[in-house]
Amino acid sequence: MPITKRGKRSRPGSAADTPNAQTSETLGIHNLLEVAKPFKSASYKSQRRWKNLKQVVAQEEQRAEWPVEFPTYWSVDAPPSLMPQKKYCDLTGLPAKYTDPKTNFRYCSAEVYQILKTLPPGAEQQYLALRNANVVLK
Amino acid sequence: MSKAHTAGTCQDAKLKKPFFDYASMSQGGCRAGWASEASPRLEFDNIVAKYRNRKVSSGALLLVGDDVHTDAMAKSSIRSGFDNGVLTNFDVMENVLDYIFTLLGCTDDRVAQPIVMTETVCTPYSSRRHMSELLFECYSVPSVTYGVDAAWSYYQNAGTLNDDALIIDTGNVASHVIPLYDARIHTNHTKRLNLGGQAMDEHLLKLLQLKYPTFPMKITEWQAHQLIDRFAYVADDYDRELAGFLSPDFLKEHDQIVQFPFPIPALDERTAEEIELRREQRRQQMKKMQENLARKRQEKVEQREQELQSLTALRESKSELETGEFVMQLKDAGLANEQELDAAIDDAQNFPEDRQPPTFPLLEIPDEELTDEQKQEKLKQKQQKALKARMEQEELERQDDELRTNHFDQWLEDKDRQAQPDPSCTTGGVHASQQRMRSIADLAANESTATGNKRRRRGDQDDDFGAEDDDWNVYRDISKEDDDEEEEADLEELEKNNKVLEQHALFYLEALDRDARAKIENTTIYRFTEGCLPAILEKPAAPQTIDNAAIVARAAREYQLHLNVERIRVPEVLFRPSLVGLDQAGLLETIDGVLRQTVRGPGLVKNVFVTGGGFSKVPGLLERLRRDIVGIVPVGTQVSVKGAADPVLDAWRGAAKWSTTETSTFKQSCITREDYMEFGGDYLKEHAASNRYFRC
Repeated sequence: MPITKRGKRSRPGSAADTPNAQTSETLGIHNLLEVAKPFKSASYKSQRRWKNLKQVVAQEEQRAEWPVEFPTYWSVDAPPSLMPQKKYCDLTGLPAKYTDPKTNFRYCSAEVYQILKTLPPGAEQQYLALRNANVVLK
Repeated sequence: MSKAHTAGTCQDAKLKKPFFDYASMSQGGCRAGWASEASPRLEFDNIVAKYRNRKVSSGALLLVGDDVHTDAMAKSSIRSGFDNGVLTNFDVMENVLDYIFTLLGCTDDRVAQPIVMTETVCTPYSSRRHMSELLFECYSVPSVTYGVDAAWSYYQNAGTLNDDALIIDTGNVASHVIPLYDARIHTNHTKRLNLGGQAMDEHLLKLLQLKYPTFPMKITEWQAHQLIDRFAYVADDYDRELAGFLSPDFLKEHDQIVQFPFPIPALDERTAEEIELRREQRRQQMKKMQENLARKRQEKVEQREQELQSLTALRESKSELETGEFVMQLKDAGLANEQELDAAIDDAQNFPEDRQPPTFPLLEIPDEELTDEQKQEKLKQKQQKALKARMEQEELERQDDELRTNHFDQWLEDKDRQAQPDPSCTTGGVHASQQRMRSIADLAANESTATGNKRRRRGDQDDDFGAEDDDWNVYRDISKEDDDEEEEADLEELEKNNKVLEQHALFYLEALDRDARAKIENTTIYRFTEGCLPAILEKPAAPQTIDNAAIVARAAREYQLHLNVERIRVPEVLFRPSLVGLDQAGLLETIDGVLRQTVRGPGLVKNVFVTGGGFSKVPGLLERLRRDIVGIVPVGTQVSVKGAADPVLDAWRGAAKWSTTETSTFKQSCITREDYMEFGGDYLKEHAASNRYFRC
């Protein structure tokens, strides 16, 4: 299978394509289970379980006395904002002047408030979830 | 795979330095190729799918990269080796590397070329350890060099890493602000914002789902990504642009309609001419029928006339004829005696049929009780009745027309009188409510007299309400069910009036519709969801002509999305992460923080470089950054913001260029097999574009 410049393999039916009974082969798709991989070492065994990022970072933090100045994955995280946050309408995204005291839904006009009143109970939580302000029951 | 081609590539490659780059992005893709070439040979989604499929001889499939998208069955088993931009699953990575080495044509028993790889800023040690382990143990590579992609992207664009610069790298799941000075990047002053291009796709998708909850199609994240690619832009002054976004003039130019494929509704395929032809034919038929009827009537009248004449002639001839002959002639005419003749003449003279109004007795009788002949007669009567009604209606209309044209004032007065609430019409409602009040009053009265007295006397005795089923009817009586009927009557009245208006004052109804439409169109919510399109009224007052084009247009609208505020609202999350509920400083605040930390300070802003596959390509980002940065640095500081020529591929290209031109530096920063054995998998040789290393 010829490989073109940007890695897009040639279309099926082109001259370089060798006719093959296997559909996946004729489409230029590689089933890696059926491809010979001579470059791999036979003795290599990967570990079976992989930790997710949270576990990896937690483990790493415990691992050593990291110097204060040394940059680590957790130390380069940008800090929370110190600026006052502007408020935007949860429905339209326009600048919001008002907040519904019951649900904390922010809205920009009486018109949007009307809509809010017609929403089925709990539906406003989906809007609030956009900015992680929804009520999560545990 | 053609063998000859593969061998050729491999031999070529031995003379050059091969180079592999895995992009540190879960969705952003992987790029790999030979360092001696201008562009990576492979560029694919960094995903793997392992699943069973009986159609394949072996029964199981392991697909990598874009191949995954060729089989719908693979969809549910797609896995990525990345977790939030950091490589964590090296089984997936092993599959990806197998794929790369296979496609690049490695046929030796090991991968014999040095490897250059990118890694994310401040990647956890375990991630690098597993990577090195995989490369050295599984593929037996001679050496590996790790570096940060953004730095190499800068190298590709500037040709050197000896500048002072502020690199802003926006990836798929994270963005970084990296200062570059003293001929190396300073990861200790780098800050990472956990926001990337993927956040935009997800945010837009959620916004659209909430904006159009009843949208008939499923919008996919891929589609959302395409929409971002094409229509999103960074507003120069977000709050100002946002405030005016839904104003009609601005919206006209900035509302973007996205049409999804929609089913075309069943249409009346006849052309206007055909419809007109059909109507004409029907008119002709009607005319012919009326003519026939008139002729038949005429014939009947003439026949009667003749009969009458002959009968009167017979009577007059009585005096001239002999009795015997007269009786003979009577018998010939079918009459028994003279009295019958008189009666017959009477009958003929009165000729009842056109004077008396025709009656339709058969219409009242159900079909089952009629003979076949009667049924036919009934049909005829039915037609006659309809014709008569139509003629009456036409006559009424003609009179009305005449009155309107000749005596307009009187006509208007009549209409006014008709429009007055007709007392007999409203009594229905009034009567019903009176009835209701009476029922309630009765109930109250009963309570106090009949049962109430008993109660007062014997407090614990139960009344027998409900013993009989009829008792419950009282609730039906006092309920307000009549309201519906009243409303229906009102609607009927309205329809009647509308019809009158339709005939004589269409402009008035059209004005009503126009007002109703304007009222809807002027609401913020309508503009937000439907843009500048005219509103569709549920019950328009004026009659609507709906042709095929209108039907198709209406069906199309069901499948349309409008992007307006979202176009700036979505990219704005980079500057205001609170929009998506992320408790981090926005990009500008982060830049400000980085500038305060570094020794070079605000001087770095004279060379701001933006790269990465996340936000970099959103139009307006560079201008916005420039504008905002001017606001946070001392007055007079020179600010210049430039973007990478190709934000996605430049990291690969830069690394290739760096490894082939800065050969001595490259050689020094190669981690060899010996280094790996000696120092372990975490080991990193620092260079200008690399992370920092601390020996634990």
